[in-house]
Amino acid sequence: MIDFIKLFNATARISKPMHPDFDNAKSLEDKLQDIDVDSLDSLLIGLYLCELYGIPEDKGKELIPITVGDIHDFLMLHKTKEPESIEAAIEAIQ
Amino acid sequence: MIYLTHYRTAATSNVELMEDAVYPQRVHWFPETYAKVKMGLTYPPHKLAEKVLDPALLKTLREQEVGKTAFILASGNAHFAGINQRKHDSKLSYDYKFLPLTLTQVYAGRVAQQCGAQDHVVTDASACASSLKVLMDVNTLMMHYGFARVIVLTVEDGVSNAVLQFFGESKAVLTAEEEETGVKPSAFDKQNRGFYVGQGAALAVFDNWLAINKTGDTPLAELCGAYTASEASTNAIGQLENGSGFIKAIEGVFEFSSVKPEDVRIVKTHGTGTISNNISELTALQSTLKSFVATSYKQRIGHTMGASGLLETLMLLEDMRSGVIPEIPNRTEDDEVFLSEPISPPTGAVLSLAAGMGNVYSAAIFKPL
Repeated sequence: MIDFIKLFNATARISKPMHPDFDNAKSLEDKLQDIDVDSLDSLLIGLYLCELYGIPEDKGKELIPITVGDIHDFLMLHKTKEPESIEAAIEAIQ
Repeated sequence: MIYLTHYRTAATSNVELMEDAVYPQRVHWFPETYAKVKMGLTYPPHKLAEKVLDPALLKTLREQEVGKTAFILASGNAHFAGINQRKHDSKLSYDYKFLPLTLTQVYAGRVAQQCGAQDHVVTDASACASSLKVLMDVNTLMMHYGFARVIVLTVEDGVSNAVLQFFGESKAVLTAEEEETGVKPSAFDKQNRGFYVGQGAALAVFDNWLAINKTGDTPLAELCGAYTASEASTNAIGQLENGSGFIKAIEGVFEFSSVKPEDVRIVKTHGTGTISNNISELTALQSTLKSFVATSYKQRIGHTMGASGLLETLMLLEDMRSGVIPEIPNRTEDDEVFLSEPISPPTGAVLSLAAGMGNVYSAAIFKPL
């Protein structure tokens, strides 16, 4: 099973290309605003992750997360597929 | 005084024929910027910009406390020109899902924070003159409003489906059909002419002397002045062949700088190589300057649209540091003014010119240091 925190950080690095060392998320309880993920970042990260978990764009727009865990829970609730690995996930969206 | 202290450029001589465009034509491009665009998760102008948004430089800029700092995104248009018009499906077609970031001011705000620019964030939509036009804004901000630093990012994805169609329709580019007659890209030449569309981006940091004293950075060139003008034309996508737009821009930059016409020895032309630009720009240069040599970069890297003015200027300054002013490619006549061969740089100031649709003409003068 994929380490979601690692997947989140890897996706954030794509969403925030000027922060290639982003590794701020440590737990599902982390608030996005506390780990330098602003509202634009979270929209982009959500878009990428919804693609990876096979969630339609219209459904993805319902995601309004406060914490990393909010994103995780939304994906688990609506997913139609899962990435095989973090490497495969990044390869798919980068 | 205003100094160029850092820059990054992205341009390519790589050329590929876009056979499935409405008007098949060659383009200078980075294919990786279009990788996976069909998914709608990547946006070519952003991928292009990332080539000059060096994380290490941005970190340095964020950490330097130089005083009031502005950020200007010279994007050529109010939203990036590449947004898909869906008129014709090709390998360049896409439909980016994240619409807020297709708005240039939103993107500018996002990048500005990464550069530590928190005092003034604006965009510019002056078409193909955009990145040279904003140097007048740089001058205004730093000389009249107390800004210590202005960071300019310029990027425009000209190879997009919509742009290729528009330029093909307007006969501005050299299409594959025209190439079959033996014409090659060039400028100020009787036989060869024109350009291909190209992708390009540049990042430039301008500092005043107080900022340089704080950072210890080495100034690379002095921005002596910049001016943007228009001309009395009813055709917003044309140029008057009497060169009046270029002349007003050149005279303006001399009026508002300490540089005299005889100080300018090198010209980075707009140099599209279209018949009207050849006549217009040549007329303007011959009527305003004394003794000069001129080159053009559009035949090397394509016409990078809004990015072209500043990007090509930075490339010329880089070439001059390497001891050369490159020739205008594919000249068929010997020419020591509109260079048919590369030369060693003469000592003197550099005049850069750009023109854009909507009757906009820009001039800027740099002194290499």
